[in-house]
Amino acid sequence: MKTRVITRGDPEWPVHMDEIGGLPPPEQLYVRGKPIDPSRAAVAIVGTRRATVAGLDAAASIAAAVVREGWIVVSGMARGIDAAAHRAALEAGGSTVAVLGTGVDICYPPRNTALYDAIGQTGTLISEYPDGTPSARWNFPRRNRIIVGCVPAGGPVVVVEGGVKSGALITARYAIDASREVFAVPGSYRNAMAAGPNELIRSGQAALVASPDHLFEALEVQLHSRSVPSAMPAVDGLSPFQKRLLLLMDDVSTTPSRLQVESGIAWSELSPALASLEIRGLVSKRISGYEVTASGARARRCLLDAPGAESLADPLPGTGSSG
Amino acid sequence: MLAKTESIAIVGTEARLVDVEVDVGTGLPAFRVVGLAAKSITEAEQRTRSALMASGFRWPPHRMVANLAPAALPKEGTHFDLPIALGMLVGDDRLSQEALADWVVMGELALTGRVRPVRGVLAAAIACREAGRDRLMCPAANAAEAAVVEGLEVAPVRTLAECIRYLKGEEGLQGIPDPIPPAERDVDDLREVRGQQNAKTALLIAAAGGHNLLFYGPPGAGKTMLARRLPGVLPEMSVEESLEVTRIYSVAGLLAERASLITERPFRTPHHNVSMAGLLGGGHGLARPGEVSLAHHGVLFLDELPFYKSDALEGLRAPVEDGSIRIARSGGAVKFPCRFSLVAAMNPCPCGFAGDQLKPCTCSDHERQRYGSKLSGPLIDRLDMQVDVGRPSEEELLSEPTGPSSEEVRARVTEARELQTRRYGTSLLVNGTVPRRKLNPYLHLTKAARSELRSSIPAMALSGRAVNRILRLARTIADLQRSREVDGSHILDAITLRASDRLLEAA
Repeated sequence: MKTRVITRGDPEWPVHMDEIGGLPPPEQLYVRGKPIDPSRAAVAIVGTRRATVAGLDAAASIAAAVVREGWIVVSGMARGIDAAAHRAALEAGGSTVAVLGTGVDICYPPRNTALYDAIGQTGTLISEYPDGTPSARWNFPRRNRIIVGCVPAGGPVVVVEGGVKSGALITARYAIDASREVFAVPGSYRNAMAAGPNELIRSGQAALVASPDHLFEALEVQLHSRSVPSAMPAVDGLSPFQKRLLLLMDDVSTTPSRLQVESGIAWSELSPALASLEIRGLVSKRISGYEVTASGARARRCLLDAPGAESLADPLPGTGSSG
Repeated sequence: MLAKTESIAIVGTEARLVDVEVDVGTGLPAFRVVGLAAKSITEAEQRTRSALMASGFRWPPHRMVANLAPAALPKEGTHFDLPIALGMLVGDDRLSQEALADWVVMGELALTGRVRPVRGVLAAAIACREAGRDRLMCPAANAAEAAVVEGLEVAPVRTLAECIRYLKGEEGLQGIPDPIPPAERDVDDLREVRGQQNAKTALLIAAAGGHNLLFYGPPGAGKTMLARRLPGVLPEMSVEESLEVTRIYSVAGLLAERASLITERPFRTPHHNVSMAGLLGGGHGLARPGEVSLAHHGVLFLDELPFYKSDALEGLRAPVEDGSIRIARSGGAVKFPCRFSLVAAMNPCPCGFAGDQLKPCTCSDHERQRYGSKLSGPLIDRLDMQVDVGRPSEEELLSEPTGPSSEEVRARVTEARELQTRRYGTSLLVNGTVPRRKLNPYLHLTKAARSELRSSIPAMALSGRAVNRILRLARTIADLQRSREVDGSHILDAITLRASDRLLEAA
């Protein structure tokens, strides 16, 4: 692959790059892969590297939905949220732009090599640094303004997960200064990685996005495609206790010992219930505990919408905290 | 004149009989030791010289050669002092050769003539019995160790002078000093651990089926406390097992003075900066047992697993699998037994507070990634269970101890182990380590178990290794419930306790 150098006035030059608030726009950009089409709608999706399963899920579903509308997904190719957004865009057959903090000939982080290659083939890799520039931590916040510059003025920048001092929040601040529309995916108060987006929403700087449709509504987009409702997981087969367990879990991984304390159920009953939930693909066991999967999250929503959801939180009759 | 005594050389945990020939002949006064003797043996010259003179004898003013045969076997240890000194006295006509007849002799000499304790006396006693020798002379401090072997006449000597008077028939020896019973260990009872039902269940299963496990949780949650209670729920050691363990401690020189058989299962917890030689065995010349062998028939506990050196962890794979380890050193290769239960523990991240409700985590991404990456590699595949150890709640901390005591758990474990011994025809095989082809005929999966497994494999994307782990754990859980069949509920419990394949991605 060859690296092209583009400057202002080039047909490929992202014209919005000059409207990035008070920040200095780049003099030139180094590009690999497909040419950038500055007229196409784009959305930036940014977030933490330490994402939870729920965060990855949100990034992927938003990316897939906007790609179906023919939009371009812009992100920074870091681990976690960035990678999930790029991947989902590519898998949905869409185009994606990765703005790197290194030279475009370098894949950083190295574990994203497969993604880097795929973006180079069907998407675009851009950077303001010449080939051979290694990763340096001070380059990454600066490249965030270029992510913003790839989105037209008034266009959307979505913050999925991030702490209150994260790079994702830096991007959000650049985006606000550059009068882009900032959106944030809310999360549980227990989830440290939801603190950033929650704060953006609380302070009124960002609009809440809990589904891709919220994004389209806010931008008053006429949808080309009907969004495909995902298959509802069967929650009928779950026992009351299994339902209750599922509701006790949230975005962050929950350890079995915590579940034990919160449910007050003996381990001998908790253990098979957890295994059943896992066999149904609703939760997934990781070293740090159980996390709700995408279909688990849908099942939770089903349960909470169903009549009588309140009673699920009550203690179960006939079960005490016996040894 | 040529004198001959017998002693032993330690090779691994074995002792081999060694002839000690001492030639006191004409020539300028000098002393040489031949027969691949290590420095500790050649230095015997200085010790025997002072000890002989302090005991009222002369240093024979002759050319003296001590030959340790077989000469090609490398030897080390200070226990050759006494046989060499006795050989010199015979060569110098101070003692008759007949007086030494049939004695296998070992002992280190102090400059004052006192006989000091040495290592490997139990191994020597066993070697004597196997070779048909029935008289062993050893330091009094080690005599209790030798007395464990039946049908052996043990002569406990305290000083060189006393030893010679005894050999001349001038006076008898004092009896073998009573063994000092091991200090009453604080009884670590499982009941003292509040809450942690899942971890206690896991300990029960680990003990019953010989499964290795990983405790995962924040600092102070009780991971070490739980691990320490594993030896107490394992079945009592048989006499043979006690002998094997004592022998290892004896050759390692770790047996306390006047100690007899070790009857408590060992619990070893090497610090994480232990070297590969320290963990697996090594040293120069001939290898000495490492932590894995010192944990033989007991528990090896690796706290803060990701902090151990990678090469040491990788090196653990073969011993965990084989139950023994072969170590080659310049002096030759030796084999040590090392059949232990492995318990590892780790925090969620280097600072320990990731995911904690009380304190924020202060680790950088890079630190966390490096911490997690240590979990790769073949050792992790040997950990069958991954058990989350959460901080007990205030209520639990303040509650009275509940649940079964160690003694009750041990009874259940012993019963399950007996079941496996009958099934596999040997007490060495347990569900956790038995080859799959031997386990398969005894799985007896019910219809429900099959259907749970069949749906779990695609839903959870289980690897072949994970399925194997689940089956072994389920068999043990069924054994604990005295169930011939492995039922669906056993499979479910095994699924919750198994070490997830995604250990690597986490942290």
